[in-house]
Amino acid sequence: MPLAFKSGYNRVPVRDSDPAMFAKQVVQMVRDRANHSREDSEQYRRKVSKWYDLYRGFVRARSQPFRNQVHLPLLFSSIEAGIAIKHGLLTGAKPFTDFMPGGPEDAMSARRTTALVQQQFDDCNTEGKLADLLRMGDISGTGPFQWSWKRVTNMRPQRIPDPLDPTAFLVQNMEITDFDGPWWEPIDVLDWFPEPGKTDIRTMGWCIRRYWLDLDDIEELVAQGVYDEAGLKELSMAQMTDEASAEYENRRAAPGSLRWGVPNISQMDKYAKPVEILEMHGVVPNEMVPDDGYRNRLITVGNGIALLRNVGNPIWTGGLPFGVYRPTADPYTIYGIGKVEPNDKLQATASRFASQKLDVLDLIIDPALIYNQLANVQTGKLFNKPGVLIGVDGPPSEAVAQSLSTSAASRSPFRTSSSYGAGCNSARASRRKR
Amino acid sequence: MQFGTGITEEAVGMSGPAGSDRQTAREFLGKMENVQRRIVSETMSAARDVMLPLSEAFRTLDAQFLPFPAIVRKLGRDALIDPVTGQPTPPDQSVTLQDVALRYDMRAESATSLVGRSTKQQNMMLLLQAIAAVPPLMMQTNWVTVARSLWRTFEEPNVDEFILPINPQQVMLQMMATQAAGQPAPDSSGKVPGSPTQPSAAGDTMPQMVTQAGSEQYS
Repeated sequence: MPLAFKSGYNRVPVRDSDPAMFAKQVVQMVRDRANHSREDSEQYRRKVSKWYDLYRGFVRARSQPFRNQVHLPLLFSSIEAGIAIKHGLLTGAKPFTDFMPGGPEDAMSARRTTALVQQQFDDCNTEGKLADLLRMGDISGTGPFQWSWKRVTNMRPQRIPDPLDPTAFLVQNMEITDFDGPWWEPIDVLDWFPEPGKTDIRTMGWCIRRYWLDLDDIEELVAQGVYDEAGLKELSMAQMTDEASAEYENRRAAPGSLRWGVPNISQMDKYAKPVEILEMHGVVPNEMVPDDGYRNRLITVGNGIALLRNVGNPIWTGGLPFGVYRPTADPYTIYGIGKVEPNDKLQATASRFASQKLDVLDLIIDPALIYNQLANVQTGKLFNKPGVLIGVDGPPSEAVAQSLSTSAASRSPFRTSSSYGAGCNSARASRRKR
Repeated sequence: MQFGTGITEEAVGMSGPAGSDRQTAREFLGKMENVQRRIVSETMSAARDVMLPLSEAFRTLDAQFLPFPAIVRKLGRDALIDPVTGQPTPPDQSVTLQDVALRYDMRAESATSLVGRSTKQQNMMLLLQAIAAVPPLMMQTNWVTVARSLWRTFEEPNVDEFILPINPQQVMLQMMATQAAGQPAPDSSGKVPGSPTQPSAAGDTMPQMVTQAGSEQYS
């Protein structure tokens, strides 16, 4: 139930003087924007799961035990072949990108920056992430990613050489820096809510990302001063909202799709305490600007109810820390065109066609027969083999007859079998007969 | 589906059923090139939309958050000899705010090198001939770098096995000393004896730069 606030132009709520109510207003804004983005791309989001199924070969239809259900991995082969080439071209040689100086005086600086950035690319596993991103782009047409500065420290024991005795050592608990540098990661497109109506991230006013954190991790972030304590208290007093739970359940219930990320799978743990995080980067209306006066903000909402963070944009470049890879861009929307979308019907048809041909072949091998129940036919012996003798009472033609003519069907499978894999002959069909 | 995905048999190096019965190498290569255009287009898109924005983002994040001076540690052969310049890597490779505060033009290095291997090698040989035909250019060329690039183009993984680590400044001094001793005059074709196309001329400094093993390349 949306909260009712006094509103101004275009019914934008006027800022409430009560800080607690203002926090509710900000939470509502982030939720409304995420919902707006989701509704704007609802048709696309529904298709993403189907496209992933076609890529993986997951068959969701109810299978019948007497029908073949074959998936020809044509899209899979095409996508993986393309990714291998693209990934090889992008990361085949280091540095991945070259900073080019404006003149000789900048040459050494440019080279040092190139080396530094390449090292940082390596540190955050850019090669592996890039393969995932390319795959996401080819499957769903849109591969969003986010960058940030990441610093991870952990307290753990460390062996220290004893300065007095080279054979001895001391054990000390130390704050170890595990990572401290720029970071980037691909985002599941279902967890990405860009401002609708914009075809380029650089022109977007805001962008929202969703992920899940454990409540205990949030407590740590509160202790570090990243999140607000008031938000944590509010979070602790409630469970996951229906909305977040439903989304989580939908994702978990369906096999396949892009849902098997670590944040989601962790929720299957009965002792996990998942919290849905909506993280909004970008500008807010003047009515939502707090006393610090910054319109460009970073806002974090927990479970759709608690305001965990509302600060000015911590990245000084001012832009949104998001990017998107699209194999083929659509000039009218931020969501691009992948490899599956233009070919999904062909993939489904090819698989169905292969299944039907196998059904026909099965019928040829084991044809359906009609027999006279008064002719003393032993049905258990009605299988063809060299030298077989099947005895019946009366004329054989009156005892057993073939129910359906499969002669026409029996010729067609072999005629067109070579056309299946046009494009991917190396692909092997995975056969599932149930 | 091949049209839809842009991936055909030729893309993965297979001869497709759509080809003629007696498919020639040229036909195959032509089809492969056509397929690669689409793949290259997608790769360039990835370079433009992913690699370059990420590089720029990393630079700006460094400018904001990285404690300076930061030291980039290199391992392997590039830690001793700069792979591009061929010069010894300076001991102090610390990066300062001055380095990352600058805005640079950028290019995705790999994605812009989409020329095939054999084409690259042919181009390199043409380039060597072109340089050799212009004596002033030859004098100004950093031959250590050229030699290193040459070995890499011909896919020799460990360049340092072929090239002695001589400082280019030292090479330049040697060349100047050679010139002072009397450089041979250009012949009728305009080429200077001792250029890469004529490595066995007396007084040549090239064999020293490309070493004994490397000199075989020019013979």
